[in-house]
Amino acid sequence: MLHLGTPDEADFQRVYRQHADAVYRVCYGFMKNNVDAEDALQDTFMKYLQCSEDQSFENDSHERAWLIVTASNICKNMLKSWTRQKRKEMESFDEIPEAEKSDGSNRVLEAVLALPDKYKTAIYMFYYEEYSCSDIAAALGKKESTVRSLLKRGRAILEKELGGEADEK
Amino acid sequence: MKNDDIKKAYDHLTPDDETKERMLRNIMMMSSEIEQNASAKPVIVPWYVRLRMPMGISAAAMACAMVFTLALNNPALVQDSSSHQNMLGTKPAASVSAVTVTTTDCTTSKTTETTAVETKISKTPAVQTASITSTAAQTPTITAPVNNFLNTSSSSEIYTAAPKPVTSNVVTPPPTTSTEALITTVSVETVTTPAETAVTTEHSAVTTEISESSVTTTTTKKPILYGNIHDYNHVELAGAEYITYYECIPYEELDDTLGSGVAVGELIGGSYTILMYSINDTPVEEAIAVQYAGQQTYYLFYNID
Repeated sequence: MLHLGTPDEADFQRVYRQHADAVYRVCYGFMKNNVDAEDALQDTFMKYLQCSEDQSFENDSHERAWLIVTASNICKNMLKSWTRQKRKEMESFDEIPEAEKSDGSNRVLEAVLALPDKYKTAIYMFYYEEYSCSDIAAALGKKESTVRSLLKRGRAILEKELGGEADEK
Repeated sequence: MKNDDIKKAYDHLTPDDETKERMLRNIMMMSSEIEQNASAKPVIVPWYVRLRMPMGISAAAMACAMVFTLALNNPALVQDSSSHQNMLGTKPAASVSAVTVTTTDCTTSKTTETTAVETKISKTPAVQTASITSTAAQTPTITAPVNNFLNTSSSSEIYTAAPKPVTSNVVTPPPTTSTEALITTVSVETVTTPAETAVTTEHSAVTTEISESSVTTTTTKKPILYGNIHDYNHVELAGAEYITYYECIPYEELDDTLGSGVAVGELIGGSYTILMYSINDTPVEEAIAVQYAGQQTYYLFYNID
């Protein structure tokens, strides 16, 4: 079984286990619920299987950045769909896991999830994955200055919501 | 807000191992399904190939239904076809059967062929065969030409040839035989016709003679033409008196006068030119002959004094 592009199943499982958490976080940041996040994650790795023949990665970091950007794009497409928009009206926004709620850091998570979509990927890749602005710009296909402005506006929104100032690297 | 707060917040979004394994199985299942669908992808057959059999079957069914409907609506069509088959074989059979009846003198091999033909064409209407047979029997002269026709064209030729030529060959003989019979009859009539003509001619000649004799008879038996020969001015013909304006000729001058003279019939309003002749062995004083101009007959004038 497997694999549309990669040589064997073991390699795919290795890639999956290595990057599944990061992809899931990106997907959850966009979809804001477990079910849609899981669907987006599966679609992301299916896309990886289909494109692995044509896509050659320089290293794991490049491969991880490709998966994150692909997951964000898939989530954006899913959010644009008409069915998703209709369902969103009927759902409650309060789907944060109980663990996060009880953790005390739910305010920060809620503020991050409440960010506009165009800031989420850059914020996640910069603050959690610790990619540089140039890498983020290369992954998103945008200028580095654009990435910097996205990061600056995103931080400003979080500071406005959470108070205080975020550290700038 | 610090950077660690954002990182800690994302750490809480990590799925558990069970969820990750479940998602991995789903991915594996989806990829395997995609591969199976790709391998088991049916070969796309063009529509004209896919619809070839149904179209052929439907076309054949429609053709059968059409023929059946035509046969139901036009029962004469089936009869016509059978009669057409009979026509193709009947006419040869008719002529051949007729020939067979009449030509008992045929050789054995020829008779065999014609018999085979007869068996094949047993569908021949009895009336037609009978009529042709009777015709052939009534005219013995038919035998020869029809035999020739049969000898020249075998039965195989009759059935292997095209319908029209066969029909023409077959139809032709009866008229041909009848024509010959008529020719024979005409020849007989031609022989008798001169006799009738001769008779007629004789009769006409007799009639002519009779008419002439009657004229002559009337002329001779009724000697109306008499009168005073010396006067020459009075002539009666057929009960009619004729008076001339010429003066009387004396006897002595009669000879000088003979040979010419003019008489004008006053009663009839006409004039006559006559020639007067003397009669041999008869004195002019007793009788003279008068010939009217343009006529071959002579009228005798007797002196009744």
